Amino acid sequence: MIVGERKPLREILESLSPYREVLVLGCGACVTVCLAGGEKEAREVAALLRLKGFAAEAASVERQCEREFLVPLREKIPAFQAVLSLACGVGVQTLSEVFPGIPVLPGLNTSFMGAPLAQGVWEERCIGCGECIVHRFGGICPVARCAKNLLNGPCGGSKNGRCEVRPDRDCAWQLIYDRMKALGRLEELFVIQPPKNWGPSRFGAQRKIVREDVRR
Amino acid sequence: MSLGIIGCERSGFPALCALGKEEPEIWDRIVEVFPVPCLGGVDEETILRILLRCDTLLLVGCPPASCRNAWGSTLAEKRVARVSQLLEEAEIPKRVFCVFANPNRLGELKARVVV
Repeated sequence: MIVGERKPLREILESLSPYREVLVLGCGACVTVCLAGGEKEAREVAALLRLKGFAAEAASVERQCEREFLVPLREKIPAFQAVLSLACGVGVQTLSEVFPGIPVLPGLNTSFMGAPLAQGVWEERCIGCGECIVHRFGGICPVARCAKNLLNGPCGGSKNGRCEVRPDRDCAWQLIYDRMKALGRLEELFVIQPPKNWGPSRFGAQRKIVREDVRR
Repeated sequence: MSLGIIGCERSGFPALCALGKEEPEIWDRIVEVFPVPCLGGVDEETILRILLRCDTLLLVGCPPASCRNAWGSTLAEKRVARVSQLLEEAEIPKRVFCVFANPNRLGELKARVVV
């Protein structure tokens, strides 16, 4: 899922300063699960904004990144001067595209694609490189989880299974080694991995998928 | 300074009533009183909404070691800490506190309510 964090309130208040009537819009998908931008958080931020003198209301939709879910807001949104979206960057942009006449301001910083590890802990798992190769590494992605993105690791700097760059993180290559050993596939790690094809990654132009078979 | 109070029905609210009998002038400062079954069910948004109508809000509940619902007062403490941090971050000059009291233990409540 997409993991995000609420922006500092000072930054939110600064971006909202030209407006008074504000809709705080939560999203019921990923940012609800990471406790950053769901209905509960939208109600909280709206209550805080009211204490700061804004005429703020809270609402939430199932998914801000899909236009269909934004249709019910057609009646509501024109009553406000701005929308503070607590969705990820995708939701904020979809909302702006559907309602081009109203300023949509981001209330979250979209952090990464990750997984919850424990209550209140999320960790990155995928960078969306466009060409998944985790099967070669026992299901652990060295691109997302190794600080040096090494496909032919380990780097030799890890200590006690911890990363050299961030000692509070696990060394991805230690995890890969342990997993491959458990799977009885250690010898596969002797295979030199070719340079990764970064063509499908985010370093080119904006990516797009078109499925002719499901288009209308 | 106007005062709002959320009191649990087991300890906090009876403690407030007992203090009110001892010191009737406290009612002049108190603008909102909400008895609730347990402080553990009071969320951050509720606290912030009540703060619109008062300067300081007290969540009065069972002492944590003898909380009727075991974790109610502990949960309330966590939420109060979070709301306090939000208020500070937003530079809102209102305050919220947790107070643990029952009719036989009024000291902490008295210190917060009686001027």
